[in-house]
Amino acid sequence: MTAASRVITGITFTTDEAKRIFEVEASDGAHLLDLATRLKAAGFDHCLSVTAEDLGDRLAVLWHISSYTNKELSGMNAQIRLIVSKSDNVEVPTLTGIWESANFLERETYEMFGVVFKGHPDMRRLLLPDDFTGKWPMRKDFPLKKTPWRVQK
Amino acid sequence: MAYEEGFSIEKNSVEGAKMSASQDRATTANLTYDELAGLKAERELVLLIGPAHPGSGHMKIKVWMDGDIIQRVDPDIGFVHRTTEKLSENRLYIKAIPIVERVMLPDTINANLAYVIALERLLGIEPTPRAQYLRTLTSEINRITSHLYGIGLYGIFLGSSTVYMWAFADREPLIDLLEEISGARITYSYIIPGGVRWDLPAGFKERAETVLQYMEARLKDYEKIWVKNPVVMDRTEGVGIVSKSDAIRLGITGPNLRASGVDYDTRRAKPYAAYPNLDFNVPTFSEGDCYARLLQRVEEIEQSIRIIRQVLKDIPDGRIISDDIYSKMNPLQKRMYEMKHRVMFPAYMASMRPAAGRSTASVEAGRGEIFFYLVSNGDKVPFRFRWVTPSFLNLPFFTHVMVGQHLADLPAIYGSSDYFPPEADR
Repeated sequence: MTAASRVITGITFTTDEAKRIFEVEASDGAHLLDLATRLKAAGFDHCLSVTAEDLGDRLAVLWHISSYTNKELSGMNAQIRLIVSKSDNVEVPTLTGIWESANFLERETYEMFGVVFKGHPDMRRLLLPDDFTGKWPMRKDFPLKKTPWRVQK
Repeated sequence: MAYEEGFSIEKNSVEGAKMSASQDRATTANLTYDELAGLKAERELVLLIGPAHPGSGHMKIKVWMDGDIIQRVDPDIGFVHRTTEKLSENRLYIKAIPIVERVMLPDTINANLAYVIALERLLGIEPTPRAQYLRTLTSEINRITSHLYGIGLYGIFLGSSTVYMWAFADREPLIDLLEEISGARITYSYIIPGGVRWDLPAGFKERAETVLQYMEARLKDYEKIWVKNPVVMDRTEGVGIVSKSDAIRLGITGPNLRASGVDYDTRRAKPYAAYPNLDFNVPTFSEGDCYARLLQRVEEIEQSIRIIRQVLKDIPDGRIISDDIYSKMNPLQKRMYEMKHRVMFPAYMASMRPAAGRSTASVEAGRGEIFFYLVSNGDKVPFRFRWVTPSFLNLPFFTHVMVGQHLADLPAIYGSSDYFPPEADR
């Protein structure tokens, strides 16, 4: 990855222009909230995606943000990344207080990755069925079973 | 769960209310605060709509009402969730193309395009100029069919089967055009890393122009029977208003966002394909009601017609597949390409391993912005395959826009947002 960077209101983004990656790393929950508040003030007004990556013993939680109103920022898919250690229920602060559009996206990340967003107004499952008993299907350790073909006679 | 709630509706029937009221008088004196609050909540009517839905697919809408005014809406989605992300993370890169198409049936080219752009950025491939124009061409034809689909279903939501039949019949000539190019009617799988699979057939420009003239004439017919129809205007004007600031705050996307006065279009803000070379307007409306969202789609069809004409006029000559991919073809495939201008897949398509890295892509689909985030760790399958579809981003139409409106307006608001459940569930 090329080591380019771009600074927006004092926040340094690691960038890869060709791959449209603009990333800023949060060191912990408090830093995350501080970053998000400053980015919101800078003009990032909506959340495009919330998701996570399974890095083995850790989880990276990602918020992708962009802007509808600020012409300079609206070409960016910026991402905030927070790395936490992986456990059954990982807790990170919610950003719904800053970007309300993160609401459903955080709910999806919760059911798929087991990331509990502390302070989220409605931390329930969204897409999975009510009787689903497996745990965190988008993590890499989720068992995948192949159903054999069966012909009834 | 559903049965219990069905029972609570019964309690709200007239007899049930009388019975519980007489019981209330006898016992309320001894009730705690929480129990009293529960009694009040009992008077609230809970209505379950779906999962079998008369509109465009499968979802359950749970509505809390006071009288016929909607107090709260909980959209229960996921009935058509197909785990596209998990499926794609366990398959070769090229096999994700049909998967992303399947969930966005009215709009498959745009789903295909968004994924391929993200993948090309991972691979570091640039498509040829002719391929860029062909991508724009098919994407705009598909946008018109997607808007016609939305307009037609809005007809069903408002009780007009005429406009539904019209819109679905008028998709046909456009689908025929795409069939001429790609060989398929709905799931084209036309766009591949490096370019597209087929070139324009002979005589395509003339036939396309006939279809565009037909569409323009039909838009005038739609205006008479549907857009300027007093019944439609009565049911949609001033209903389901989304203010500009709300639309931004809630992250509404696509035509719904522009109908609220936000001048944002992914084609312009995050340029891709041939859009930087083309001249088109981004229509907006300031009203933000259901009627504005209907007009928005009609105007976007007009702009798409304009873009298609420019593409057909300006399309450059040259290869439809980039040199990176062409050089990986075997001699037979190269001969086939020179003879028929048709791309046969080189073995590379099944064995590609993008270097470790990450990429994002945004594409303006018919309903709004498709967002892609791909992560490769150098393997032959994606390490992380994340995509967000416009209908999912438009979910606040249920939780926020419907609140405070009459129950009778629920179909009008749902239909105006052009929400498509399979697309939202992915």
